Amino acid sequence: MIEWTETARRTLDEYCARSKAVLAGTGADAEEVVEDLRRHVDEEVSAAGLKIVTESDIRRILARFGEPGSAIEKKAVEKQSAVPPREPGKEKKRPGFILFALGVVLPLVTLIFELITGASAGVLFDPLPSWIHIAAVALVPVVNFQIWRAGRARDSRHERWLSWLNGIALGICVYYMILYLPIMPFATIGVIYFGLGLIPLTPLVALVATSWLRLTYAARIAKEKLPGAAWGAIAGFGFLFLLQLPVALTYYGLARASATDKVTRLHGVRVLRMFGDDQLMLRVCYGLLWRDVNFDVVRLVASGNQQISADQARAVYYQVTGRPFNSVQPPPLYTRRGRWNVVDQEFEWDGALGGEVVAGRVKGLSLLSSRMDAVAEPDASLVYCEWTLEFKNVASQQREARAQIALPPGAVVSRLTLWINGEEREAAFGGRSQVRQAYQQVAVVQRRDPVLVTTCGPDRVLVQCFPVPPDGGVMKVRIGITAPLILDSLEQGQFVWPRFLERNFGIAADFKHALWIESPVRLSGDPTAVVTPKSATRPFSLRESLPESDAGESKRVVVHRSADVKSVWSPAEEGGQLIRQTIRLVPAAAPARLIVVVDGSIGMQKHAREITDALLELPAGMELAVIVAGDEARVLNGKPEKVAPAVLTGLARSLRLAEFVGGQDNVPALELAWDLAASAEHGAVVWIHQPQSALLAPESTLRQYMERDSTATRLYEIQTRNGPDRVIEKLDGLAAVERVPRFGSVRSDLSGLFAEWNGKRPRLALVREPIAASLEASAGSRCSKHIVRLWARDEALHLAARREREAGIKLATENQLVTPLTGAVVLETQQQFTQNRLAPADPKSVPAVPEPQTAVLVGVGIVAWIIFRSRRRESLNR
Amino acid sequence: MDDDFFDNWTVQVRKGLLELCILNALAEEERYGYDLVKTLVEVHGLGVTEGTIYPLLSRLRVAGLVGSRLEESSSGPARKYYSLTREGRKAMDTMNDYMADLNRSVTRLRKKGA
Repeated sequence: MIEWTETARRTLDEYCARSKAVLAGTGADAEEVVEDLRRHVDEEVSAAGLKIVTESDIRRILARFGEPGSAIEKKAVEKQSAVPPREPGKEKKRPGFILFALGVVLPLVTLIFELITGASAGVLFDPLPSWIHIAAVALVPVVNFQIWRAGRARDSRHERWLSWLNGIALGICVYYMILYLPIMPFATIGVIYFGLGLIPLTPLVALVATSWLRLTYAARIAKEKLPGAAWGAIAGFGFLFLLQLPVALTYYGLARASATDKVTRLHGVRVLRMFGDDQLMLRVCYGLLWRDVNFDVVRLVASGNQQISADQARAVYYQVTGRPFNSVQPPPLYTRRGRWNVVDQEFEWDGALGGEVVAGRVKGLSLLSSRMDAVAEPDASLVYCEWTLEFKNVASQQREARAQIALPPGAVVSRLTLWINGEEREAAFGGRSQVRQAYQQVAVVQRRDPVLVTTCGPDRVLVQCFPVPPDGGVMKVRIGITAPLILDSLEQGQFVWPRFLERNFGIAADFKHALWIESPVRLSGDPTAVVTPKSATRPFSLRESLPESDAGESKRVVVHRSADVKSVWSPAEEGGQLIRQTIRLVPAAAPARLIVVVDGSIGMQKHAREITDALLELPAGMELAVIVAGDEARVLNGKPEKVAPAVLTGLARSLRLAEFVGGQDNVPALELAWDLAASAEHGAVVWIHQPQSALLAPESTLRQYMERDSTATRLYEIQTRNGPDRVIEKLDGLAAVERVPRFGSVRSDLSGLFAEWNGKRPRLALVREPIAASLEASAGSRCSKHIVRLWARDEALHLAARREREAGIKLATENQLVTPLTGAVVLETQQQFTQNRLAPADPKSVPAVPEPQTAVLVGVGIVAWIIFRSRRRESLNR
Repeated sequence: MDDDFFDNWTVQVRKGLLELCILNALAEEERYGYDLVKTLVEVHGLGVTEGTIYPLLSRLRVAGLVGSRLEESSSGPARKYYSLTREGRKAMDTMNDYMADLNRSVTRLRKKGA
């Protein structure tokens, strides 16, 4: 410890005061020079090893120093520096604790708090939507700390860098201050009275602190002005503004795309296609936005404060991207509980419970097992398939499992079973609205066990079952499907396994459906299938494990049959009648006018070449027009023209050059196509499309055309890939709509259709008709009741087309079928059936696939009976 | 030669050279203030004192040619370090070039005179 005498101290002080006076106006920082001199004296004292510093010691040291400034020419200095001398009383103090707290600690703590809790994101808006935003906000406390430290140390080495970074930090503060501007008055009140709401005030406080630090630093290093304040601020603000521009344009586009008039809508969609932020659009689609951005300035300004519902956003998302929203993983959900609290990519709350849409995935619900057991009747050219599904729910609340299922072409649901407490309960069949009402009453209101199956388009059904019990509960259902074979020839037909089109439950990546089909005659399938040949005790069988990822494609089995059997029969419900099914070669008359509607959505681009190639196979003489359903429905060749090489070449070129973008509304194009087709004597529309995940325009006009049209105009629809189609759903029950079975590429399936029209490929049809029982002998061999069910299905559709709904419902109900007019529902108790005026199917009357053991027993019995008969015959002959 | 004349002349020369000497002293590395001042004081013929150098250092720092920072020291008062800024380095190079040119010209004149 070094001691200074009073006189030594005074001597030094006097020298310093004298120096200050001399240095004023020399261009040097007098205060700094004096500090330096004092420090130097301290060093000298320390170096001399003095314990007590006396006046003489100081005088000796100062004598060496000489008088400060003695070697400086005053005039020259003034010329070099424009810095005015500072008055000693106005010297800037070192930046202290308050600036550190407000400029460094507060922004840093606020940033960490928001990252951990998502408080602002959960209540107001998300201020940190990306890592870039987080980095930008973190820059403020980092720069402030550096400038605070440099100011304290009078460190001017990085003056230029720090000045510019400080300017950028100012811009960042201004940007966030503007975002929080609407909420600031409330936040101020909140902080004063409740001690809450500091986040919205932080940008303002940080802005003041950052400016203050800048001024203090400038004063500390004796600079009147530091560079980069304005341009740095513009750079910081501009960077975040540009970063936010896609968001602003997305809000703008969403608002315009949801407008009522078409031109504005189209403008909005085009803006979104160019600048739309995919994540933001998805957040609106998943309903994760409107609850937390009531004060989002960007949204308020860009959208004109227009609220956009999740349904509207989903339709817009499809138009913009061409993908259904629920085919994309949901974006992170920002809640009070945590910024990165993603809900396992699934909905917490199921808003579609009991409704008629599948909607998005719900949390905790998954498919536990899936098996399809099928039995073929080759003579009757049909397959009966039972699809047994088990759903598991690990969520803490009850869940409804919903799925759209694609049935085999021409198939009908003929059985529905639900397991309640381990017991099988059969469904009641009734009018569509009647069964849905019963389901909603029992499922949604009473929260008991029902399952419902209704149609949702040609060869499509919607299955919904509730409740799948919480905390690991399992629900098991079985759907029986009667399906006719698609006959390639008299010797063989194809059976297409049913598959999911859309579902609200998860399926594990390695999940496999267990497929089993048996037949008295040979079966063939994929090379991966295990085929067991027929023996004395068992029929032919084929089994396969089908991953869900492969189930999107049409999975088929070829059922071989005897070409000699062309006619079979089965007794109808009504006494004295049989239903006879005959295989007939039906001449497929080529339409006089064909209108091909090509979906202009982005996913169709890759099929343009296939379509143009297939068109070359159209029969000559037919009138043809091709419409691309783009933002505007456009007839590529202007009007229908006779098929000729020049016409086809022109169409091929136009189609290849056509713009395929986003997801397109096909309804206007279909209306135009139907008008053009129906104006000819025998017209047809072929609609080639990707799944239309959103209904973008009302279908009522199109449906009216098709219902009221008395011509034989037909609509052939070819869907290019697996998925739900909202337009097709709305055309449910219309006899004029025909689904073209998908077996291969778009090209080959189109070629197959055109080949029938060309007469190059025979069209084998299964014709079912009621005949008098007395004609039994001429009706061929007897088969199962499934042909009665298939006949009843077709008849119910015809009755519906003839507006004889009641008769159609009666017929379908009696035959226990799910048709556009009827549905199937399983309720838990007999009382519930009675209350809803429904009667469950008699278990003895429902179709069934024989259990393997039963089949073995039957087989053994038949073999024993044949042996017994042959031996008896031999003994009689003897 | 009159001693007063020579003394006045050397004072003028030293005044002009002092800033360049400080910049050159910092050319290689950042330097601790006390050490820097001691070095300059001991330069033969420069004849400067601590009281002269500190105002000059401050003036160079205000002009943006020299940067400084304080570093706390466990063994004594906080130490002040000086270093050249980019502008300072440019100025030093220019001044050195000028000095070299000037020196060459003066030498050439002397040879011609001889």
